[in-house]
Amino acid sequence: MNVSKIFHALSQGIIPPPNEVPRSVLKFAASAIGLRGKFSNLTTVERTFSALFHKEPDHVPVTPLLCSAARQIKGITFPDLSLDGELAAEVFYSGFEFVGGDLIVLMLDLSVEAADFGQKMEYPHDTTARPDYSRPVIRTVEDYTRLSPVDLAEAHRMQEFLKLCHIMVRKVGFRGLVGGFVFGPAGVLSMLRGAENFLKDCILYPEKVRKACERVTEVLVQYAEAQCDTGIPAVAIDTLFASRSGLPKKVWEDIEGPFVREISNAIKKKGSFVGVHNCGNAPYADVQLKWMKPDVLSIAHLPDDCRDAAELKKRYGEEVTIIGYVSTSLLMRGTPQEVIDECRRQIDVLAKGGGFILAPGCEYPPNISLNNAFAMMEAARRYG
Amino acid sequence: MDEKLNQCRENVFCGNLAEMEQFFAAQNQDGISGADVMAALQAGLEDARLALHENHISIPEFLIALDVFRRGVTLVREKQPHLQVEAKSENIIIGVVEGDVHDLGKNIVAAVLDASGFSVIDLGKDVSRERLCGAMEKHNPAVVALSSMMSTSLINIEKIIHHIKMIYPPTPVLVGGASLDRDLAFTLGADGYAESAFLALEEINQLVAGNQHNS
Repeated sequence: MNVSKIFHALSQGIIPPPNEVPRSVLKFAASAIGLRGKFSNLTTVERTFSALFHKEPDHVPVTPLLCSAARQIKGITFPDLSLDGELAAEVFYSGFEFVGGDLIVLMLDLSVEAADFGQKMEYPHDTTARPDYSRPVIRTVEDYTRLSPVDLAEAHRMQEFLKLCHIMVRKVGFRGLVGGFVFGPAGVLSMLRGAENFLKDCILYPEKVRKACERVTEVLVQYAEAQCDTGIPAVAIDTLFASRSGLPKKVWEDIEGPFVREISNAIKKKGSFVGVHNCGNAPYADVQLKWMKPDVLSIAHLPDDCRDAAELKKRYGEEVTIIGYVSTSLLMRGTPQEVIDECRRQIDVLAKGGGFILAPGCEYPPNISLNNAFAMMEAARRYG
Repeated sequence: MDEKLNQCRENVFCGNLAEMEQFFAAQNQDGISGADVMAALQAGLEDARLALHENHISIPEFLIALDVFRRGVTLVREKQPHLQVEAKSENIIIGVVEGDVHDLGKNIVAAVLDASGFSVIDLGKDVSRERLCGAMEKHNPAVVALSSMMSTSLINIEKIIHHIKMIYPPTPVLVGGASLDRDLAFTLGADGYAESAFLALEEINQLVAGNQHNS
């Protein structure tokens, strides 16, 4: 237990790194909070903390994962959100103030790391940043072996993201848990190569891909550690390719497993929680938990080994806190009442005994009204 | 099917490019007809499509099978440039909607449709309404298939469908992609929804049959 680290954080008005506190103390505190929640309202941090330690809080914690959808509040553009850490902080913070939530995950877009590895990006005004696939960094299979690590200090996009982390952790303070975000090495490489070619390369040239994963991971570890150093108490690792939308299970374990373990271990060493985010179809929860041992699993679809939400709770509910999984489609087409009804269904199955945070399966659709985000908040309050 | 042709079919299914090249190098001595080889290649791809649907193989494994299939088709045509191929049936226009550049799913569906005998006009990605309408004017498709992975481009799908319904009302529109499900697809005005590459072919067949019945 690093007492000075804890006091240093508290003196800055931010949540201390949770894993600096002995687990037994945290569990005891969670039990006490859970008991208190039966008689009075909890703070957002208490509520989230309680759920993370599998105690039932006053109501289920909820995060609308507004992310870029919150840019509508102040009229900030997609390019400004992607490229300017201070404006990004305005987006995320205004979303927190306007809609609320117990947890804020700083999912900016999936191009941050790849941009700093030299991938040319497009920054459209009406959608998130994306690679210019006419100019991939990895044009041929041989280019995997030519990939060099980048100096984090010179990495513009990642530095702006660290600025975002630093600002948000201090602005939110004890009023909510702020989570960082890292795209896993397979994801970064897919941005540099193009998804179709990357997927085939993983099968046909695994050694070359693994070598490139190793180089990318060197930087991602530093990046994740730097996020923790800003005061971020939890970092999510996005492992999209660990799903039926991506690689076969054994291939994923071979290609990305050891490297995301490295990133996860680095985050834990800094005292922060580890989250896994996977919005792919039929994610491989078993192997992701095996390799990363995360505290939290954020999903958009049921894992490949779960027929329904009840089985999800039964299989994984004690091992990890589940975040999710209201569908993008429902948020786009549904009425607020339909959203509330679906939230209630998920709460009824997943919230018992804690270990559940209500959220969309992926970020809230960026270009729709925020009505259904409010609906989710209401559902948690009413039925959680 | 002849053992050699079975091997050709297996090479596609297993993604064995080197074996496929060897097969064609040896084929001259065996006197197997180009039409039979084409049928074997298509059968191999169909096996892969079914296996993908049943989760026996993954997306990358299917993509590799597709590459071997395409290589096989190229080699057949090189060896027998005058080979009479069964006339393509209906035109299908396919593309990724304006504002979206993710084309993996679309590429898979386009390849499956092509291998199944449709005449596929692939407009690529980030397809504007103007480009789509120009292609519809030129090719008079039986079905228009649109893909969207990003939720941000779904508003464009809705606008395009609305426009198609105004200008070309009989033409059915099929949609698919990670940001969609069946309910949302029909809310946006689509006539069909493809949950996967496997189901895309079944949906297209139904839409084409329905269109023929109504015309």
